[in-house]
Amino acid sequence: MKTHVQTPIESILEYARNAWRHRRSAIISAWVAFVVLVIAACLVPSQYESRAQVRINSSSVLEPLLQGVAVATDSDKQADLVRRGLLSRPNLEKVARASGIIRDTSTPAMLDGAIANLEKKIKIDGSAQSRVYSITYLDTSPKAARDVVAELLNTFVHESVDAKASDSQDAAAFFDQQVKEYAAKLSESERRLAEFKKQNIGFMPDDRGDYFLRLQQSMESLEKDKSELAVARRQRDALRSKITEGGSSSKPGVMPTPDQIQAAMAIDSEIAQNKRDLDALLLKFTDRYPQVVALRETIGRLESRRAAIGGGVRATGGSVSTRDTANGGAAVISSLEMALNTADVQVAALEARVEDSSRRVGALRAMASSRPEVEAELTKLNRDYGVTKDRYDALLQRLESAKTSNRVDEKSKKTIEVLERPVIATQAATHPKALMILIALLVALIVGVLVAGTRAELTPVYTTRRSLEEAFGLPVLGVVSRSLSDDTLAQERRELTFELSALAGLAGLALLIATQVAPISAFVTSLMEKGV
Amino acid sequence: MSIVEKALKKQSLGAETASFAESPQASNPSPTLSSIKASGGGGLLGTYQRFFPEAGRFDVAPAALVGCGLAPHSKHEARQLAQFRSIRKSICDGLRASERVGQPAKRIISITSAFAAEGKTYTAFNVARSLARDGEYQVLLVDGDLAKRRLTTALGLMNADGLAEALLPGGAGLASLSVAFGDSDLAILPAGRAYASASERLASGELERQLGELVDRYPKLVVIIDSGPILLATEAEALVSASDAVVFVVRSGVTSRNAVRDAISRIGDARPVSFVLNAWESSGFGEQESYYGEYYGDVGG
Repeated sequence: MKTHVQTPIESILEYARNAWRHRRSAIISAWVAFVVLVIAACLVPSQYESRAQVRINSSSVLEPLLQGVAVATDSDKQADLVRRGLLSRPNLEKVARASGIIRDTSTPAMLDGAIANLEKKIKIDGSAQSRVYSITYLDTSPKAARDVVAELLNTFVHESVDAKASDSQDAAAFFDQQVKEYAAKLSESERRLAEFKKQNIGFMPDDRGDYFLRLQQSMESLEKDKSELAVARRQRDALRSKITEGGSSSKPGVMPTPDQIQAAMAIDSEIAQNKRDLDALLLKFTDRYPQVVALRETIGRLESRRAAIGGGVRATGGSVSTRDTANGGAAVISSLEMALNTADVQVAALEARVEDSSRRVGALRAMASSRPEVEAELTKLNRDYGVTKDRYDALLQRLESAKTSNRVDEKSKKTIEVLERPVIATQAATHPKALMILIALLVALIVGVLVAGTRAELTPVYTTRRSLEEAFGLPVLGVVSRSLSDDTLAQERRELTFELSALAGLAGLALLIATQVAPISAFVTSLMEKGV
Repeated sequence: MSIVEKALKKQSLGAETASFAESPQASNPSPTLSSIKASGGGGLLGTYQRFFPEAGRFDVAPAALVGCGLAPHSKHEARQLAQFRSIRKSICDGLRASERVGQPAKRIISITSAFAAEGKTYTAFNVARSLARDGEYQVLLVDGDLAKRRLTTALGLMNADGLAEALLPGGAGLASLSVAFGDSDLAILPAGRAYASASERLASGELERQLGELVDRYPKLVVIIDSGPILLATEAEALVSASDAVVFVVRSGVTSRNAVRDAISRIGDARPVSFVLNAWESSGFGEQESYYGEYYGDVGG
C-alpha cells in the first residue's frame, strides 16, 4: 500500500468536514450571538445632532489696527484661537452646567469626565477665509445637544464682541500713547536741531554754498584785491617820483624838442596802457601765457624806443611835464599831488581789503578740520528729525482711521452674524444602526464558524482512511461506507433542511431588523426602560 | 455503478438469495429457538455442518437482516458487499501469507472498537459472511459482547445457549452450542443466557483454551469474535487477549482520535491490530477508499 502525504488542500478539506459535523452548534451559537448583538445594538442610544453657524466680520476692527504694526495675524491661527478659546475649561464648565450635563451634585471626577467628553464631542469647524464657523454637537438627547450648542453660540457671540470692543479700545489707547510719545520725541528733535544750528551758526551750509566753495571764492577775491593793491601802489609811486622829479628839475639842462617830447609822451602812454593790460592778464594767466609774452615784448620794444628818444623827457607824467614851463610848473605839481593823495587813499583802502580777505581765508582754512564734523552732525540731526516726523505722521493717520472704523462698527453692530441657530433635532443623526445589524449578522456567522471549528479542533476524529493510517502506522483493512435506511436518510435531509432554514432565517431576520431598525430600537429601549 | 455492473452483482448474489428463499423462516424476521431446533439436525445439511456436525442450523430472511440492522440496505448493498470483499481479501491475504511461510495463521480475530455503536457487530457479521461466502474458510462468529448481546438479539437467539454456557464448568463446548447460518460455511455462537457470571470465566483463560482446541481441530476455521467496546466493557480485554489478531472499528467522524489512541494502547502490541473505517462518507474528492472498494468489488464479482 503506497503511503500518500496529505496535501494542504486535503488537510483543509478534512478540517472543514470535521467542522461541518458541528454545524448545528454553529447555527445555534450564531443565533445566540446575533440576538445578543442586536439587543446590544438597539440599546446603543441614538445620537441627535445640533448645529449653529456664525459669520464673523472681523475685518472691521482688528485688521486696520494691526496692519503693519504687528506681524499680520495668520488666519488659521485666528480660527484656532477661536476654537481654543471656546473650548477652554471655564467655558466648557459653563456650558456643561447651563445645559444640565453636570449638576451641582457632581463629583470633581464626574465633572472632569463630562468636560473631557464635551471637549471631544464638540466640533468647531470653519476657516478665517470664509469667516464662517460652525459648532456641532452630538448627544443622545436632542434637547441636550441643542442646549450645548446654544450655550456655546451664546458664549461665542458675547466673548467675541467683548473681546473685539476691548481690542479696538486697547489699540486706540495704544496709538494714542504712541502718538504722544512721538510728539514728544519730535519736539525734542526740533529743539536739538535749533540748538545745534544756533551753536554752529557760521558753519551752516546756506545759499552761499558750502565750505569749500566759499574758501575758493575768498581766496580768489584776496588775489584780486592784492593785484589791485599792487597797481594802485605803482601808480602812487609813479606820482610820488614825478612830484619829486618836477621839484628838482625846475632848471632843466638840455631841454628836449617839442617833437621829441610829444613822441616820448605818446610812447609813455602806450607803455602805461600795455602795462595795465599786462597786469590785468597776469591776474588771470601765468607768465607763459602767449598774450602776456607778447605784451612784454611790446613793452620792451616801446621802452627801448623811448630810451632812444632821450632821457630829457621823463618817462611818467611826461604829458604833465610837456607843458613844463616856468610859469605852469607849480600848477602841474599841485595837480600831481592831488592825484597822489587820491592814489594814497586808494592804496590804503585796498590794503584794508586785502587784510580782510586774507583774514577770512585764514579763518576758513582754520575751520577746515572742524567743519565736516559739524555738517555730519547736522545731517544726523536732520535725519532723526525726519524719521520721527514720518513716524508721527503715520501714527496720527492710523489713529484717525482706527477711530473712524470703530465708529463705523459701533454704528453697524454687525461684527458677528448668526447664520444658523441651533434647534432640537427631531430625527436621529445618521447613526448607522442598519449597518450595525448587518455587522452583527456577520459577527454571528463568524462566531458560528469559530464554534464549529473549535469543537472540531477539540474533538478530532478520523474521516479518511489516510488520516487513520498515518495516525498509528497500522494497516487499514478497508472502509465501510455509511449505510442509511430511507428513514434515516429522510431524517437527515429534514435536519439539513431545518439547519439551512435556520441559517436563512437568521439572515432574513437580520435584513428585516436592518430595514426596520428605528422602531425596533425604540421598542427595545422602551422595554429596557420599563424594566429598569 | 452501471446497469451492467448491477446485473453482474445480482447474478453473483443469486444463489445466496435463492437459498435464503428456500428456508421456511424466510419471512420470519425473528426466528425462535424452537424453530431453530426444528430446522437443526433434521433438515438439509449445510456445508458448514461438514465441520460442525453437532451444530444446529437456522436461517434469517435477507429483508429481516436488513431490518435488524445487520445487512446493508439494498440501495447500498452492492457497494458495501464490494467493500467487505475488500476487507475479506486483506484478511485472507494475511492468513495465506502466514500459511505460505509455515507459521500458524492468526485465525482467531476479535473485532472491537473504542465505544459502543461504532459498527462492531455490523462489521463482524458482514466480514464473517463475506469470508464464509468465499468458500475457502469456515467461519465461526462469536457474540462476545455479553452485556449488550446485540448479534444474538438481532438474530433472535436470545434464548439459545451460547458462549456463557460453553464456559461453564462441564459445559457443552463451543462447537456444539453454535448454530449454522443458512447453508453457508458460517456458524454463529450466541452470547448465551448466563452472561451475568461469564465475565470472570472469560478472564480465566477457559475461552482461550477452547478456541485453541477448535482451531487446532479445524485447520480451515476462522473464528471472529464480536467483542464489546474495549474502553467500556471489561470482558472485551479478555476476548482480545484470547485472540490472535484484532480488527479495530473506527466510526468515521464520530470516534475521537483520543479514544482511538487510548483503545489502541489498551489493546497493546502483543497482537497485530488493523483498522476498519466504518460509516465513511465520500467527500466527493480524493476517493481513494471508493476506488479500492470498486476495484476489489470488480475482482470479487
